[in-house]
Amino acid sequence: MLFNSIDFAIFLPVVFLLYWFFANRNLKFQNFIIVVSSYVFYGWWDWRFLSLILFSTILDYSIGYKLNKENHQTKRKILLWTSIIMNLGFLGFFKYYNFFLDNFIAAFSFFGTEVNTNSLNIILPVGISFYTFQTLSYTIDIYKRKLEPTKDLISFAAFVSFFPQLVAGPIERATHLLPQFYRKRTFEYSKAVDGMRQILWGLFKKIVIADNCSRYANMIFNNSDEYSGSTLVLGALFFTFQIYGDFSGYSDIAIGTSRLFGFNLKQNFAFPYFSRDMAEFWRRWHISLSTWFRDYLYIPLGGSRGNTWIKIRNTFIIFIISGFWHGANWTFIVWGTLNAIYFLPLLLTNNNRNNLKIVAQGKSLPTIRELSSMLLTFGLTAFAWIFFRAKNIDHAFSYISKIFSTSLFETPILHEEKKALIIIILVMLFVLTEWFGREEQYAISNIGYFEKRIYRWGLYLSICFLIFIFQGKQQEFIYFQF
Amino acid sequence: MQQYIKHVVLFLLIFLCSIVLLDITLSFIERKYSDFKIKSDPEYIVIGHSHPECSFNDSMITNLKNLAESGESYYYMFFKLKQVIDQNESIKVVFVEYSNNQINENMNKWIWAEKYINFRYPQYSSFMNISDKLILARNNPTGYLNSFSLALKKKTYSILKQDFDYSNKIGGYLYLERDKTDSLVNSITSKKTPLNKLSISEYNLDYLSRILQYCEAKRKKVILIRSPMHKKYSGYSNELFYNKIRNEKYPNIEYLDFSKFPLTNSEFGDLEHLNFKGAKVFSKWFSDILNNGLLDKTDKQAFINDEIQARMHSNDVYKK
Repeated sequence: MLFNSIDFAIFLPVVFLLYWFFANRNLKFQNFIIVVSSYVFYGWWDWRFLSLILFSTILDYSIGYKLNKENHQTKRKILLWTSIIMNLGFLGFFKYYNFFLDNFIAAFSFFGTEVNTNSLNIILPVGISFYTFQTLSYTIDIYKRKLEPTKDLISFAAFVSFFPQLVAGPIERATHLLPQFYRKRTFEYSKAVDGMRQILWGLFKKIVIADNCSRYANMIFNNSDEYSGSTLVLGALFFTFQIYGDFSGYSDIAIGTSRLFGFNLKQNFAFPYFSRDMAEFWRRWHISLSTWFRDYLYIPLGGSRGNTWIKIRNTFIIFIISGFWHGANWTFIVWGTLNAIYFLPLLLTNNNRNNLKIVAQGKSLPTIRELSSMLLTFGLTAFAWIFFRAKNIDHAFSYISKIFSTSLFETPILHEEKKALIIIILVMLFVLTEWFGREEQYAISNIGYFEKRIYRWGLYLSICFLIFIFQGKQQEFIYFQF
Repeated sequence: MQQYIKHVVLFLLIFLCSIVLLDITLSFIERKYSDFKIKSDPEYIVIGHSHPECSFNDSMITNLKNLAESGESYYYMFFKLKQVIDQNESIKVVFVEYSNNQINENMNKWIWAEKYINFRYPQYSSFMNISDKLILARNNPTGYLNSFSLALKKKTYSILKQDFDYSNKIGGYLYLERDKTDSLVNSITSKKTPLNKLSISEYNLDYLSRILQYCEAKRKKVILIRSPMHKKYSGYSNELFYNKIRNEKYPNIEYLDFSKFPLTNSEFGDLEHLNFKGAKVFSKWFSDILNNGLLDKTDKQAFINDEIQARMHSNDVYKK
């Protein structure tokens, strides 16, 4: 079920009313409603894969329980590794089986040996990368004695399958989200209104920005041979906004929906395209994944402590794995490597924590220096997205080589130029709104500060009109495939 | 909680009312200024899908305007025809294509599948009433919402640009160059679908009935036609069913069958469409029989059959 579908527009109010009217008096019933609705939400896509979520839930619930009781270190390690292997095993099978098989065959044929194996027609269960990491955080935190295991299976099942963030995050930590299932939620008007506002902004990002940009990004990337270098640059920029609108839009809807049910999820995107360097970008882009890798991979590997080679090794490991997490394709690995290359100079010169505060805080405009840093970071990011979007490595390199040809200086040519121009104007409007709302959790949060309802509602109506009038062709969220 | 729900409902109502009001206003303006006037003041018009679109070269047929359009179902044809008839007093006869594939359930897709609704609905939404729109909304709610927004945009642009001229956007003769009939004939594996397995598009046929009724109400002569098709065309498989529906639903409407009109493979674009060469031959012949008083004959089909026979005997090429 897509957030931007009619199915969800019916599903959400029904669950909301059931939750607040029928389950309001009882915590267990509230959690039960969450579990049932989450399973319906997920099963809407393919009910067969509910068994995977159920298995993961029961496995990690049991292991978490045993981990807490067990004091013998070796046995605790065995339990932890059982959880890790089982969870990553499912992820690896569904997501990476064909990738490894194909590369295995290619490697053998390179050395002159033909291997005959059949690749499997495997459907990737939606959201498997997200809920796998979420459940892993539970067992790892219990192992580290940072978290008490829950005895309440319903609460744990609700934590694993919580529908707003089940299929594309934010990846919540058990330490943050699970305790919220232990407390009965009471309805708060301001929280619900804030949730609706964030959903509205998420829908705008997805439907107006991402879906419209995708049309031109797809057109240009799928026919890159036919376009000039300058048009290819435009294609990369369209994709840059598409992926941001798509993924951060999803996160906004997920966070807003959670707030409707009385939950607080962590911010997943903090205006990353206003970053002044790549280190800042990675503190602001897909925060829940970056911090997951930081806490469960980078720091256990030694982090930025140790000698220069350790720092370089750890940086490459974390970025390459992060790239590979996105998909079983060499393009993602190169994308991760490229970001490691961007990031390393800042780490090695101890400049990776220079820009911790939001840019031009308290001011309307950035300084020239800030602006140029932002533009440079944005350019590097857009360049890296070419690898992320390309069909394969060859495609990415041919795309880039055409950009750096003489045709870069030609006037970009697009089909339906007027429509493209309208989309560019909408993107500019979007960037301006994000800029003026960058000190908030999400860009239009400050609409809530207007005292008069007529102003607030006027702005909400304007956004609704924009969504309705400029809706692009309905597309699945990009991150569903991860 | 109650206050919250009250506010959400109120907001949604305001939004929906604004959208509906905007649509009503824009539709009213578009209806008022829309121009379906055909400059040539034709006496005859042809409507239908791609079969007549590729068959009737109206530059060769006196007083006839081809308004057929590829992929157009009777549903959208109805709204177009109403405006055309209302704004063109000169029209006396309406030829409506009634071909084998137009009865199939597949025609439902031509009404509400995304590819069609996104193009046709914005074009004709101003001329539809609520019950017409409900058919789309019920059968493809997502597609309808999308096309509704496209229609609003289209109407706004038309009004801002003061572009209300429909006469060049409502179909016309299609000059088809392709010639792949031989290869298609060679690749055919003939398979007739049993009668009891065919399912029909009730929606499409309902709108054909409305077209016929509207023409009669406006005192226009309406004739069902079937454009020339290749004898190997797979659509013939529902022939019995096709004739049964016509006899049951439209027993009093005249029907002229040109499907057996003799043409060589090179005069077909494919098995169901004439290319420009075939259209030239057929249009010339059609123009002649029209001028020779086809419409005054008591048994028009017999007259057509005689003409076809005479043509076949006059040229050995067609005897194959």
